[in-house]
Amino acid sequence: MQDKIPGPPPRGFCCDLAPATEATISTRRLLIFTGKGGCGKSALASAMALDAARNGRRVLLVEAALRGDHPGRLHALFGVPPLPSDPVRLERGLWGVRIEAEAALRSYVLRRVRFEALYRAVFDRPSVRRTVAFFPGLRELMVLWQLRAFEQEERKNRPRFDLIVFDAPSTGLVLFLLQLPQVVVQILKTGVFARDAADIYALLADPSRTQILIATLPEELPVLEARDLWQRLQSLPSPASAGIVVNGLLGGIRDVGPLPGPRSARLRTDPALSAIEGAAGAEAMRAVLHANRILLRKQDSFARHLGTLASTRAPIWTLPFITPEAGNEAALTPLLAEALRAAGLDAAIEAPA
Amino acid sequence: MNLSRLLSEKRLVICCGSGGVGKTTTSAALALQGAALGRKTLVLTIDPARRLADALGISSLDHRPRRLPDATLRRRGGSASGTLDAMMLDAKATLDDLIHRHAPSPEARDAILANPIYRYGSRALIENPEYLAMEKVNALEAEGSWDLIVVDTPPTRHALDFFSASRRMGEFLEGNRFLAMMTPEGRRGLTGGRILGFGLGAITRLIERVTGTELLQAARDFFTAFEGMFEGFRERAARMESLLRSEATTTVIVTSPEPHALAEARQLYASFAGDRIPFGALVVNRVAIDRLVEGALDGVAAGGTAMDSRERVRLDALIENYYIFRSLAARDSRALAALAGLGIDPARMLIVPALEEEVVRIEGLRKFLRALKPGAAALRPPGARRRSR
Repeated sequence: MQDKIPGPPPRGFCCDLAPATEATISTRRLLIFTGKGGCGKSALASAMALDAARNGRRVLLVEAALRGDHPGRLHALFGVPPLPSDPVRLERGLWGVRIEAEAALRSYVLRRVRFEALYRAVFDRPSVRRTVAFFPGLRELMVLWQLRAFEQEERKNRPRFDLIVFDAPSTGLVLFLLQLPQVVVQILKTGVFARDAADIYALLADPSRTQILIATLPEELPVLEARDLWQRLQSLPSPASAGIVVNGLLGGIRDVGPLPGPRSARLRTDPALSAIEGAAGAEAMRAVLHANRILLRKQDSFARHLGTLASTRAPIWTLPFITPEAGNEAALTPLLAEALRAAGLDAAIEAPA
Repeated sequence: MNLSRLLSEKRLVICCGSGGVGKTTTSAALALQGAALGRKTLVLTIDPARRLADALGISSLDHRPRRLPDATLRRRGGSASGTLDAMMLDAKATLDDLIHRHAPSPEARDAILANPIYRYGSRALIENPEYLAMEKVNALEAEGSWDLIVVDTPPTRHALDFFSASRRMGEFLEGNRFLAMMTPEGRRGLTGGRILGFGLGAITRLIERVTGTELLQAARDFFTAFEGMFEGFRERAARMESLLRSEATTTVIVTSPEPHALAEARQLYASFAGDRIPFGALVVNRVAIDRLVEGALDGVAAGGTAMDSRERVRLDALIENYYIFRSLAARDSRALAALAGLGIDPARMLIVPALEEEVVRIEGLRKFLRALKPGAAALRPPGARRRSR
């Protein structure tokens, strides 16, 4: 069984949030999840992909590794072996794939140059690979190029996937996206690279095809980062950003009014606390007081952080705190899929009429 | 070796871990403890937020070390000789300083600053400041003004990046030799040079076809201008590599009981062992701890019958909230029990319970330090105390 703290936060629990956007992502083909590491971005992307697949869409869930060896997160969320570089079926209507920057570079060069012997002679040398890897944004560009290739892929004269959900590697990749036009204009200028970069940008900055969701937690740094990223995305000519998803909100906390401090004289005169002490002893009363004071502090900070986010006027969705049994991450994905449906995030991924 | 001994004997304490686990607070608290032990201490934060300033109760921090007033630091029984300085890494200033200080000539400096590769790359270095942090730590350590430097590493997804930053820079500097060959001077030195049977011209044309001529030209210019600085970068990278692995250095891994933070802490711990980076302690912060035995509140439902209905509702709410907290405590307790498998010496495993108040000012840090205890007791599995409702 899971520890699930049920329910959305009670009404009036926090600030007034901007209403979630009416715009759906239904016609959009690419959904990018970004956000600070550790905000549940991968879990959200997985749940979103699962939900869309269970509602009849053909979905590709993508993760990317900019630097080699990290085994990725998505497979654990489905209880399968690490994802390969070709789409593998996870369940009905859902495929998973992992893009590795280096492999993407290789297939890119081979496709564009078509001279494998020369490629091997040059690019398989470690010193060259390290140098090439240093070229500004090359890894990011290669990952996005592969992502676009999946978006363009056709089978039997129609797109192979209705929806591509991309679990972007932290915020770096999206920041790169923001800089892409400058990279093209200032550094690449001409050549195959520049043309491909422009095509990639055209897809990713087109709100009718792409949406970016920022995952965050109700904690200070994640919230500030989400706010800054949202604002930077809004500075684009046509921001393809859908909104901010706040993960892990501890719901169901009941209002208990002001609480005395643990050494306050008011402890004696607080009727409820005195009743607990009378029935269960001083130790129990202190434990209840401590628990409530900790939750009160959490609740205050949630409200403050949600207030910070609300000031951006971004559409905001909140999801409850759900934690699976240790070591069974795969149990989380369907729970989270239900939660994001309850939060209305599913409306964004309904199949087109 | 316990925490006090680490703080008395080491010269460099590096706090690392996932973002948002209280790394800055922990760094400030350890530095305060170091000063209390009589050492001339510096705490360096990379976090641009105001956390360190707030934690220390000072109005602002910048990239120059700032001494905390004696009156703030001193209290009865405190050692008279300890001091505490605090500063914040300014990544841009550090980078500018590096270029200005080490460029072989004003012309080379200006060429680097104007180069598009440098301008793009420098933004990346500033946004992911691991390398610059490492450079700064290296410079501060070499300065010799402090007995103890506590470093709050950048809040990156992969905290390990801090430790591999200088190695990666070293690798990059080696890798540049290839591009250096493509400068006119480099080519003259290698007349007729071939790589696996392919002439340099063919290789250059291949790369140009993909990257465009401008990018390759900018890269050549960059490496040409950087030429005179490579040796210095290489030397400093080597010094940092050996400093990180020396007896003078230790690491403190900070985590919260959240699964993502714990996963990163485990990964760090394993990599330190593999990389011969000395491990000092693991701090598990914000642990929900509940020591009530199962059924301790059973009598409460029957009691309080004399209360009015409003108070009755509040009583129920207090108890319900307690059970929410209890499920958090059960989760944290399982997470801690799972950590026992790492085989860390109990004296190096430190637990900080969730605190009822935010850790601000020196007083807050002292409370934090009092709450921080070896986790042997907290690690006992909850067993019989578990209860469902």
